[in-house]
Amino acid sequence: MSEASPLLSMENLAKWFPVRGGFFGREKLHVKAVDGVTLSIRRGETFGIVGESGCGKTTLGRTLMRLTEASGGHILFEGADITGLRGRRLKPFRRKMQMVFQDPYASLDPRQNIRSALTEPMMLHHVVSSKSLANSFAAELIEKVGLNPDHLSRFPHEFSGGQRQRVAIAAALAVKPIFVVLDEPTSSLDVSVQAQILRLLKNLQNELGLTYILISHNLAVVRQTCDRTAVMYLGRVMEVAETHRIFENPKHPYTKALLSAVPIPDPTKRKSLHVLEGDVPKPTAIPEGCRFRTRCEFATAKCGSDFPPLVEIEPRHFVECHYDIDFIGKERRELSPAQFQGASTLPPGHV
Amino acid sequence: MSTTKGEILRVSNLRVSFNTYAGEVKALDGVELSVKKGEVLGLVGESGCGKSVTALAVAGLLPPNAIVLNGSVQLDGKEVLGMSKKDLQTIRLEEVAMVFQDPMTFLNPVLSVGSQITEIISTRPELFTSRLINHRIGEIERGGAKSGPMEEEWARLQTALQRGKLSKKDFDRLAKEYTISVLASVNLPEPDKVFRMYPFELSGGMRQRAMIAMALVRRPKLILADEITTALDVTVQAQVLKLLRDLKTEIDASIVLITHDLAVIAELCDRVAVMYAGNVVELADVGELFSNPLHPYTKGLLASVPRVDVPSASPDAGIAGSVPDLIRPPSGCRFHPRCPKAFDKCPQVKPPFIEVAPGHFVACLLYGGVP
Repeated sequence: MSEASPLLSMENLAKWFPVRGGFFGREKLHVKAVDGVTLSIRRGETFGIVGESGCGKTTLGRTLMRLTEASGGHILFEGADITGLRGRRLKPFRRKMQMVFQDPYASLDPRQNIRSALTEPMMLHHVVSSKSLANSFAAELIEKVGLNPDHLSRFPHEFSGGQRQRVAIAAALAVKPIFVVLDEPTSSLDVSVQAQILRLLKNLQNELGLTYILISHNLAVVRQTCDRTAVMYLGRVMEVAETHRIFENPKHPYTKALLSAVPIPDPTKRKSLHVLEGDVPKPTAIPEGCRFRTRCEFATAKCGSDFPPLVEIEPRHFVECHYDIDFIGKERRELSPAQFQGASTLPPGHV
Repeated sequence: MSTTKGEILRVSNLRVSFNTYAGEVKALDGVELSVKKGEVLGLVGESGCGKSVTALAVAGLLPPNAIVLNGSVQLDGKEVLGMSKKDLQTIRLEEVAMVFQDPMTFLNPVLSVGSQITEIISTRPELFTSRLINHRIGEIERGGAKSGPMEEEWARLQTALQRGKLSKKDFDRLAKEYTISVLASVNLPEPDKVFRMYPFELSGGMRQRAMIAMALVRRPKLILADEITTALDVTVQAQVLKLLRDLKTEIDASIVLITHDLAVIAELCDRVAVMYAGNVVELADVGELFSNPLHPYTKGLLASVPRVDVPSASPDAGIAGSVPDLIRPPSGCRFHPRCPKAFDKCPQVKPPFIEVAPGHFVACLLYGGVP
């Protein structure tokens, strides 16, 4: 894991969707689904992206994968800017990055058997040199994801939800990618099956040296599987740090609220359920200044006027907030970008 | 078996099948369940285990292709199975209310929230008249100042209460006021505004509150809440869970909370019933179930739940295999093909539901019942 060369980085990445609003649709508005995200993903890590529905986590994943065009910013894969690449020049990168979607029934072709779902991309990307090698690699893959080669001649509808997600994982791995975006891979599964799939993903990562981005709304899944975690709200990253820091020492008021809302499967640890009031604002009308201020219990006038700085509050723990909330109540301590001594040694935007 | 004192619901040996093109789906295979007055019973299990079918049977809402083969559902002493359609309507109006996972499907999109709720009230004036009047009288009395028009209204309502009749105008006005007060009780912001809004104008969390309000307006003795927080974001889920917890102390109703999420169960329930493939396999107090699970399925389920409060342990393997096809369910104990502790008797004998400790029931041959 070399600090110097991240596998993938995004710089100020944005994806705005134009929509019509107002009277007779005269107004032109934008849904700012992703609104300036800067992150870098290290080789071999599992990077978690959490947030509530509509926070832009799936759009971020799709934009990264070049499944949808970015409206601004850059995507660097192994140092190469792939933001504007097309056709033949993009194809080698397509092979290296793959995605597993939430609903495997929607992402697998219902009229294609599993063998051809696995071998077709292999041939297309010249991962194997012949049809027979493709077939034997498909058999190897299907065993790797815990199914057996008999399953290759079956169709997606013949599988249960968990098996289908195993097939979707095998299909993603068919082109020997080095980077996989997992978009809510276990959300449609039962909890006993979810545990099987999460373990499978971990084993595959260790065996094949994969780098993952895990997009999830389930904080417990993220805590159990990710090395680092970013918390998103309305298209921006509010906080990034190693997972244990996010969960043990959250610094952003949103992260705190999110964590305190998660019920714990232990009746002896019932909580007062600290409740975050209200709903997420409309993404066409994102609040000025800090976008979380409308629901933040610590918000001040400054939060409404000034865009919050990105602060490295402790080593490699970044927060986009005006204040150190752990000091609120004692004395209000404002944060500035130079908060942490080591911050200056990092290149700008290296989050 | 009938409901004993202190029980609002008793389901015994309930067996329900569905006729489908693929064959007969044996959805419930002898469900045993009881709900005590004033408690929150959690009904937990994975998809297809029969938790929703159990609730539908209790509310008399089973679809036409369902066949009740056996068993009884006693709701406050009355047998629900085999009841006439009209009696079932009365039961659903007065005694049991169901709240569903997806409120958008169960709210009428072309009626405002308020009119959908007042409709419930105005279809049964005989049931609601005295309740509406008492509500308004209570409000006036709480207001203190009994003077002028208020005093006049109070006197008028008192006579109306004695006669048991209200003018149409007064009835509609009081129904609206009562509805708004119920909307306020589920913490909907600006309830008088929500009264006039249509379902599409509400957010997911607000819609779910509107559904809960719709259930509460009837003052049911039993609320069946089917996966009501599943479609919600975690912060909104916390709002709804908090609401349920507050309501539990305010209203005099029992709640059956159906969910696949053990964390929600731990947060809210008094007792828990764990279902698997059409059976209740374990039932105990919530503390007992989480600290001393007995059934191998319960153990596997608890070990599978990822936790947000402890650092990453090696994730457990879950439970091997997947949920069986209920057209051809496994013989004997339906869990035996996935059970790490299965032995030779398990495929042969259906384990009885036995009380192994006071209030702790389990259906597993490891704890007895081997012939």
